[in-house]
Amino acid sequence: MKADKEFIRESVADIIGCEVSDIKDDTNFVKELEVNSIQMLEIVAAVEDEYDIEVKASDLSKYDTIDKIVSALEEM
Amino acid sequence: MNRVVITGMAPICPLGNTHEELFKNLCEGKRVLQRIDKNNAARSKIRAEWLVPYPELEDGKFADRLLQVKARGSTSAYAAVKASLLALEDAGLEKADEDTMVFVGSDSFSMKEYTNEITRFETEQKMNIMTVPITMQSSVDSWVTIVLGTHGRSSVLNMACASATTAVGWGYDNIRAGRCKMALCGGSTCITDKNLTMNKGFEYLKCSTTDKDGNVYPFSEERCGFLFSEGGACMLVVEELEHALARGAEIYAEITGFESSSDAYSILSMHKDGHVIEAMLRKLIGDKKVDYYNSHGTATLLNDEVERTVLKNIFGSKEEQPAISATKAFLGHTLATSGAFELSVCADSIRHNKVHGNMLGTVFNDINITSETRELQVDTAVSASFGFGGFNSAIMLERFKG
Repeated sequence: MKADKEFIRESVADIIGCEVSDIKDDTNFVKELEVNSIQMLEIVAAVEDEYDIEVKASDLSKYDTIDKIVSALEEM
Repeated sequence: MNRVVITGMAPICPLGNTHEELFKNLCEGKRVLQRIDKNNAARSKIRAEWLVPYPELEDGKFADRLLQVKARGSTSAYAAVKASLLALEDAGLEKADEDTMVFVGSDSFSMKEYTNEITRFETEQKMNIMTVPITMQSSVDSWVTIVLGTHGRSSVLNMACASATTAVGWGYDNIRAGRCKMALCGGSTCITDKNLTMNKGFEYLKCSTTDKDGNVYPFSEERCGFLFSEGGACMLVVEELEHALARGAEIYAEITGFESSSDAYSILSMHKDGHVIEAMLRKLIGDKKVDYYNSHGTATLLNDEVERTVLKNIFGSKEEQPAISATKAFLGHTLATSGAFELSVCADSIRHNKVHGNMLGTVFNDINITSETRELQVDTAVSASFGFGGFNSAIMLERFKG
């Protein structure tokens, strides 16, 4: 599945309320941007809705950087 | 302080419209599932294949007394009133005392009726003139008092999935303090609508199972959330002991404790170390031996891990723990009402000295839970409920020994 990295970055910035430029490809949302568990659910929901996929609860940690989200989508 | 007992129990759910039927079906591991019809664009986004359908309410029983609420109330109110009438009948009562208190746990407003009226107003510029009271959550409780003619304190309790347990607890507290002799307590939930919005909502929150067979694995490595239920109702008759004895009532169980607390942590998550829940349960249990623990047991990643930690901290090893069960795996998660169903299960576990089996996967090896239904002397039981927003409540039941 082809991932639109900039769409994902904009979605994450919108949810967190930061600038797009604050989110590098390998910036960890939780550790570096203090994203909480509810915001992680919102980020995952945005990805689920855009790509019509389901992310299991046990896989949430695979979606905590732009690079990891893109990799997870490309593996599908 | 007065002693408080349960003398009537009336669940309305697909697994039974009497507490005996519900308990028997649980002990036999039965479930009632309905395949989700993905017949519109919104429903096509739901990942789950199965849900527990809303129970059938139309059996003609109490039809005359239910006429007004059926015509002008919400489904939640209708079911709450019907369950209240059934609970009184189960208790051998023709009517409730005039000063009876009524506490009904109810979470979401009546989504089906409200969303239908929004659509109708938009398309036809007309609506049911009862739209306002139908969407008042308080109307669920009001209808019970109107149909039963009770004048005591009453309230809808809205504490997410801890609502019904708390409702019973409020009845217990008030009778114990001598403010009334009888209370009707329980819950009513109806969270269905044409798009199954709440089902998808729980999927976003990673709370409900999307297992292709609708399987649920509480306290197991494979756990992936609860089975979505469209709801149901369950009301209990809670009575002052002497009042019950004077009329020769059958006493199902004695309520010997109620505690409630707030995590003050997250609108969704339980606190990961469960320290508030643990303190609440320790206060409830004291130094009593607990034979049976009906868990909140939602089979979400977090709930079952937290509950496991708390149970191990309080009781110790698997061998030292009470028998544990997770009723929601069979009944679905009826949210605000779940605690009332589970209290009825606890009372019947005491009555029958039996603990229902569980739907398990690779079960935690340090938790005293089994697939099989167990014959077991149950003199004390605890039912615990934890809700979104950090609401925690638990009730202790004991065999009535005179």
